[in-house]
Amino acid sequence: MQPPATAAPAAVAPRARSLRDRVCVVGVGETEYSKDSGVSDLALQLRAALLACDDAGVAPHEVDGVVALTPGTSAEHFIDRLGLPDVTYCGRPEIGGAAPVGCLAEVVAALDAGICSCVVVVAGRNQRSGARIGGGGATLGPKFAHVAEFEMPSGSLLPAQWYARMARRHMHEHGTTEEHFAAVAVTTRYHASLNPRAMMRTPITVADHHASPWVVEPFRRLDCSLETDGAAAVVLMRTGDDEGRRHPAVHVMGAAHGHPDSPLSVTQRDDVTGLGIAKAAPRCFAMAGVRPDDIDVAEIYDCFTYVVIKQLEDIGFAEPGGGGPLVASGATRLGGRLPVNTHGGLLSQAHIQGMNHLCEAVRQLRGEAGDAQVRNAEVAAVSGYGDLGDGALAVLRR
Amino acid sequence: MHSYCVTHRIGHPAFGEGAPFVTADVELEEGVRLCGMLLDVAPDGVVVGMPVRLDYETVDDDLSLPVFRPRGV
Repeated sequence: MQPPATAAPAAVAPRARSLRDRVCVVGVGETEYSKDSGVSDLALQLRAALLACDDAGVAPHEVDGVVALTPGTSAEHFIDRLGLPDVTYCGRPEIGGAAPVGCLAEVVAALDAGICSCVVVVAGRNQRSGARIGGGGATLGPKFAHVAEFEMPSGSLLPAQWYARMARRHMHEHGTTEEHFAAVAVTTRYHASLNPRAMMRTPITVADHHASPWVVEPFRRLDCSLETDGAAAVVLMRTGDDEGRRHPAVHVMGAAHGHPDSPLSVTQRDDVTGLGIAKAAPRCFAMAGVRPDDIDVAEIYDCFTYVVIKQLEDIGFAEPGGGGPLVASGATRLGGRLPVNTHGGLLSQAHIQGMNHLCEAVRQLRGEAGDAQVRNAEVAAVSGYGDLGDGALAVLRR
Repeated sequence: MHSYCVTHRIGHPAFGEGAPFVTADVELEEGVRLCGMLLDVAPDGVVVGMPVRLDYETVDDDLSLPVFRPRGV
């Protein structure tokens, strides 16, 4: 595996490096994942938060930091419903679906600085039975104003359409193929087949992938993530405060997020394949003090199969153009040298904004991943991806 | 043409009946990159790099949209 393409910013690295291992994940919680939860978005999020607190052995009144990541609810809802006496931190970074991972950068700093002592991060909603992407009712907000003015009138309305043009350009420049996309879909589904929490557990073949209908070329249905009702949460504390908790602590070695150039429009980006994670990854690795080849298992945000391939390159697991051959080689399958999305990902487990990726990374490092456990997993990477290519990366260790 | 996609499934009533349709990101000779529909071409005849020309399509009295057509059509 190759080191990150870009050297870490020297001025940033030493200060961020001092935050390595200072904070740990002490609890994870996931609701049931379904197509129709029958309860409100907030109820799902509260359940996930309480499950994570219970997993951590933390009483809700101990929580003084709330990072509520799904638009529609806010920290105030959690203060109100959980009866939190004094919440001192409630940051939400502007990076869309990259936030569950990206927010860890600020959470680590806030905990280490003493602004707060026990933080719940929660995401998820009724993405299937409620407002569906592209189905009307889901609001995109001001950061999509450029797209709304210059691209949507021409019929470019959906993430699948925006990212399909990234994928097509990548295919043109690097020879990435539909077979590579299929390898991601098949591998991810195999992992989901091992996970009782996954929604899609029937294994698929490359032929199944190729036979699935086009959504937006070059994406077929099996290249697209699920839409899911559900929520997930994690609890973080300072290292040292975690003693006496129910599970071994999982340390945050590094965390960073970044925006692509021209974050308001993919079209206007000089390199339409460019992603924020290419900027975040070197900073994350510099903070963590490890390299891509130190990673034992990776949970990579997979809204579409192609997006996994590109992130594997941007993180430094493969050269530019090497992401497709990497997944096709079997390296990302359980038993390979870098198992990826061992829970089944957004493609086959559930779409919980990538919070399920963070939960899975913690479970892998605790040794609680069941049939999908990566043997001797000590260091995990987990990525986030949001909006028009915002990115985040965290490195965790036992 | 810098890149493109072919939309087969879209729920929006303004575009659903037109599917499949091609959306292109086009690098204009003047240096501006523009997103628009590519018309008068079969989706499987589209390739990155193909030369196209800019045109305008009148939707109604208040709206005209940039569209692209293969050069020579």
